[in-house]
Amino acid sequence: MAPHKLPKVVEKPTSPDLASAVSENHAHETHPAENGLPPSPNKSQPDQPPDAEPEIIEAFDVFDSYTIKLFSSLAIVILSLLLAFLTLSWSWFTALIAVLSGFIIFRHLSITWTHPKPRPGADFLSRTGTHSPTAPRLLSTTALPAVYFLYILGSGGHSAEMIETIKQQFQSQPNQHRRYVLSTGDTASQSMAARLEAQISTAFPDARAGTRDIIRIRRARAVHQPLLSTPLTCLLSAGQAVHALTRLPAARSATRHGYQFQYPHVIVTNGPATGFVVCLVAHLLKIMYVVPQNRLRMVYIETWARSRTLSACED
Amino acid sequence: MSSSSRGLGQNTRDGIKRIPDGEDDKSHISSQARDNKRPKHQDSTNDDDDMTPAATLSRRCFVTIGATAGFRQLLAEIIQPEFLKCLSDHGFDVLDVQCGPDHPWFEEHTKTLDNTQTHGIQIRSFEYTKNIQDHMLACRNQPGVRQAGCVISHAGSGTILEALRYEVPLVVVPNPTLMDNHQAELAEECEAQKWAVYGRLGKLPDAISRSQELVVQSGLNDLAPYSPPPFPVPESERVTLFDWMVLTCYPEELAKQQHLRDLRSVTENFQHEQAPAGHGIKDHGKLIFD
Repeated sequence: MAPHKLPKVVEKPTSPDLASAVSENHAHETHPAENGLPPSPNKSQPDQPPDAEPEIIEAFDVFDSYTIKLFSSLAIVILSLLLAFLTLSWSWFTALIAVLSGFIIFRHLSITWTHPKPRPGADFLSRTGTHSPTAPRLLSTTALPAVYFLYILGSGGHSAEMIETIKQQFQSQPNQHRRYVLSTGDTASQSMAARLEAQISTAFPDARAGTRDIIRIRRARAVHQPLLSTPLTCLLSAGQAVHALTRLPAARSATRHGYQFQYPHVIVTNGPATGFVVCLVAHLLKIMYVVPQNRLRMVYIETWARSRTLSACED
Repeated sequence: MSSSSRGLGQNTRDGIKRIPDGEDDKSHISSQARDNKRPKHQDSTNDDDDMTPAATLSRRCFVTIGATAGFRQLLAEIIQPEFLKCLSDHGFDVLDVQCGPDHPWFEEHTKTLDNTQTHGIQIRSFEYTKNIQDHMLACRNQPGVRQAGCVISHAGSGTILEALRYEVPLVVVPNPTLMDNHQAELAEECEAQKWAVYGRLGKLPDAISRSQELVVQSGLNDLAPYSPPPFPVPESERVTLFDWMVLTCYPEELAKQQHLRDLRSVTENFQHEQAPAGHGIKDHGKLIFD
């Protein structure tokens, strides 16, 4: 398997084992003992046995070198845009904006046109797709170096359906990492996620089912928030979403294929506003070449309650 | 006559008014139920309520407002005497209410009700619960233990899903104060698909009757005890869309697996072609149904 192009800001953690693993991308199953390891000492969380409660991480709690580099590059870009606005003449500035917009549009189109599309009637879309129930399923992810899901749990009703979706597709494999994204103040979704993870750890103890964590990001707009301060909170929320998308899971940083877990493979959302923000941010990261093209694939599952309109139409 | 609670309706039409003994704090429950769907019998089954063993089976109504917004209109309606009379006519004895933020208001209004106003219905209320599953399962039919009750809920999709999963009779009442209309759409869809009854504010007694009819139609009065679905889902039932999406992140691996599948199907076809050379009918039959 050819190594995928990593952006140059990825910093390898300080583990001697990893240096040998950089050049190879063999698709063999990682040793189970490595996957459940507590984080290396330079992280802020204390050592935990793998069966403890999933760690709840507030966004921006710890700045590892990757985050620092990413945000400083973003800051440089924004500041230079501001500088250009202040110093250049209007014609030059307009030309600059036109070039940037053209670039963004070109990137957006090239990403969406090269999306792998499922073939209609393909057997993974139906629940009993194979001809004989005893034949092995076609698609097996157990031999991959990493399988990383990001589940967005928005408000109440959406979270309950998301938990059901997770249960319908759950498979126990040690090379898996599940990350749940919640908004601050949403205790119902947090308890739902904790309950699901407890169920998984009782069914599959000692990290046979992979690792997990929970990240909380702030809401883009609180209820009854005045519109004047909304752009600022949206930006803060987007920044925290970037962190949620790019933060390497603590349990994986010390493992041999840890860098495969840098970005989620699949983002699953079913319609809450948090989902929209995170997916928009993910798309922008792909457009800006921050994240390689074979990551951050997004799935939008419309809630069954919407028989006529779409969730995304609500505010 | 003593009959089990299966097959409601047919075996209670002897017209005899039975007053089960052992009822102390409940007022006389009329057995002239308009719908004849409630068997009364005197066997000594134990049920899990705090009722004496010789009493009739319990039938509970659970009202849930939801965890987000208040729904005072519904709360006001369920303590109307007409509604409580309708409940008691249909054989209900307990009314559990999850009030949400309006709990103090509800308590204030119910503690002044006396026995004649409540028609013998015991009203219990609380603000929130972490364990809505237990309250809903108490409305689920269990032969010999309790009859199919009723769950009256706001039209939240999560609550509706749970009620349908536990197979309890459901009445959906959309909250008209919520701006978005999707609650009403959802309630209409549930009614159309016969999953639940669309309850309109002001016509709740009618909704209760319709719900009891739906119980008979859907066979919700003869259920095995509830068992949660297996987790993890068996492999043949699992949704594999997400696996495919992860595999598209590793195109070589996806290509390899598709190639293997093609090889496997080619091998199977080859074996089927090879088999019929000079064999009898038995093997030919095996080929067809293999």
